Amino acid sequence: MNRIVSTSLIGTAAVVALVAASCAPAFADGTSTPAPSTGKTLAAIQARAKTDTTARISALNTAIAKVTAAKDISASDRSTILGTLNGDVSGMNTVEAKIAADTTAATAAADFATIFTGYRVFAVAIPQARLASAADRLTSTTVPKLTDAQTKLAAALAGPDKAKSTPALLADLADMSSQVSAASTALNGVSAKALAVTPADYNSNHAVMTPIRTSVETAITDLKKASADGKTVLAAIK
Amino acid sequence: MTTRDAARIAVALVAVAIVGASLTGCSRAALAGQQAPAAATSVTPTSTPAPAAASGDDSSLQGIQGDLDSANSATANAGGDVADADRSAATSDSP
Repeated sequence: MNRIVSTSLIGTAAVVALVAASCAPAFADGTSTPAPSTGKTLAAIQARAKTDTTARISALNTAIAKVTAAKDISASDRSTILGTLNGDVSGMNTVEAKIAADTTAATAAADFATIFTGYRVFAVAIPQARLASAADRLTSTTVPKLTDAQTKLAAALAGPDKAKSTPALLADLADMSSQVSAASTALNGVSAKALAVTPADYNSNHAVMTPIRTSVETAITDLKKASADGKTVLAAIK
Repeated sequence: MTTRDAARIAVALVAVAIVGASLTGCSRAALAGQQAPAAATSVTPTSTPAPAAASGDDSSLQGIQGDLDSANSATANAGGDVADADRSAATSDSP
């Protein structure tokens, strides 16, 4: 009986260990995509490389179009972003051609891995482009526009619309100013930080983009509050 | 002076009166025509400040509304950028 029990326990433990071992890489990479190079034929690796590079080139071209069309991205950041995105398009074409020309599965597998580790198109290049764009939009347009609106509203409440001024409206104005200030603090240096992230940074720390995204999201939340404050005050003096 | 002569003189006087009246009307019309543009150019600037004060308030409010609209538009676009970043980051980027 004890032997049966212990045998069952050992067997169960072995199954659990096997399941855990097979799942571990998927969780670590944040993906459940199996590695195509493991035990795959050269043709299979080449086919997968074609699919994966094509998907990345398509996403890169979409991002390039958006960055090119965006009006409130700084010229410097636009140049940096487009340099990275266009460089990655070129890189994808190069690595895909190399894999297509590979003659062994081992070489193709090694080249295949560089599609991910060498570029991190989805994990780094595109997110950093979009987050830097967001930070630029907020810094160059939202913050100054809300600052202008706050200044004009304060002047109106202190002058021609003084009769409509109330402690609540003045508190809204003060909060508007505070929210814009907080957003400016959150955005300080964010685009530069986003654009400084490299695939190597991501390879060693998969959460490297998280604080950058958090800063942008925090700024958006602050600026939405500031806008709501401004809207309240404006409605009161109309 | 015959009756005929008197009639001629009367007709001539009426004619002179008519011509004179016409000339007077023309000169008034001409004066009016000259004054109209002058009034338009001179009155407009002097009358501008009054409406400007009223519409100045409106335009000021519209300016604030425009600032808020521009800010909201840029914020919405930034939100779209973050959504794009999230979609990309959620895509598998490992072999």
